[in-house]
Amino acid sequence: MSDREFNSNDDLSLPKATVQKIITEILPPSSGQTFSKDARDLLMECCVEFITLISSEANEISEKEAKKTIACEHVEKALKELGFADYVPDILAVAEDHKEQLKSREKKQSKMEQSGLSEEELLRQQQELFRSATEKYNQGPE
Amino acid sequence: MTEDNYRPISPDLSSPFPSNPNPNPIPPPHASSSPLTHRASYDDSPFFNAYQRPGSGSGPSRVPQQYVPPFQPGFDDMARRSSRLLQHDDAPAPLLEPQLYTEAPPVMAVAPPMEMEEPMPAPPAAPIEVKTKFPVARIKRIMQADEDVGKVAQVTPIAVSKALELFMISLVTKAAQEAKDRNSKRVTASHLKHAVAKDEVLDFLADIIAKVPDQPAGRKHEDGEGSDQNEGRRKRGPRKPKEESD
Repeated sequence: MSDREFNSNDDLSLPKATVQKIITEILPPSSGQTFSKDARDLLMECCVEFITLISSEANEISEKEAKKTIACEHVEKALKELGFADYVPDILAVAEDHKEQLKSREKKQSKMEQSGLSEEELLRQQQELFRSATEKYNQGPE
Repeated sequence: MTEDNYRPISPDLSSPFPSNPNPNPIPPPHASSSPLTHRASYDDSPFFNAYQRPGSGSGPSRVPQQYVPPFQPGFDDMARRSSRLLQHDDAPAPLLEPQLYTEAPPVMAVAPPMEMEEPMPAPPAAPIEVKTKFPVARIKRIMQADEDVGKVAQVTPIAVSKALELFMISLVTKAAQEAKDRNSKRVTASHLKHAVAKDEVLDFLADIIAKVPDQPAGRKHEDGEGSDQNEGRRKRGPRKPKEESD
């Protein structure tokens, strides 16, 4: 029964293969322990419940602050509230990584805006780049 | 923003006419080729500068960059390799299989295991460092399945999925400990249940674990032993969907 993968709320659970993979990373065969299927299914349910818990707590916190969007800080507070304070440093690190990535993207954009060229000019340059790229592509790397 | 203005400009004393040195604010090519910050640090890696072959005269510094594997496959390869290592724990030295790229060391340098809980000889086999990531889109969908939950910032599902990862590590480890305490090599749902029941923080799972019988029914007990392992391996096939962070 637990092996039927096509029930209606399947997409509201986690992908089995991914979960299994992570379990194997945590408990490699060399550990001598195996994780049974029913344990895995239970674990998946727990995980979904965890997400639900965190997001509803974070949602409440964001509403209290009169924010419409749940931000990372709300998740952070929710974790602390719910007794998972020790997760916070890692979460912040991940969020920081993400921001860095975004920043490098934004930087690029603002450089474009500051180039002082008109939109038409930029468009023309872009088209030119497209053309040269297409040419390069058509030549193909041998 | 204005960094370019701060670039040191040597005073032009060569002529009485002030000539514009034109700082040329074109970004370096690799910055636009990949949004991944890792990539940049990869290129900046001291290994590259150090690794200039003597004797290759013209434009040698570009050469290594061309056949260095792009960041993503390198990582994937590492993950695969390390999972292979995990399976054969007795494999002696860490990897360094016949190197396609002599620049492999930089790859290692970019991705050091973040935390070493126990001293282990093989660096890629760092104890509990999960390389597999959850699909962020799915996490977001699960979050928003709760109709009270409205908009969610871009980072939020990423943060939640990291939290979930840590949560899973803690659950699996606890359940495994529970199994060990009972001299079982097989971690069952009932072990997980006991581990959860012990921890106050995990009270919110009470409803879920209540469904689990204390003594696992014999039904699944025997047949799972071998097939579970196989399943893990078989299901490895579909690689994680490449997760874009946006």
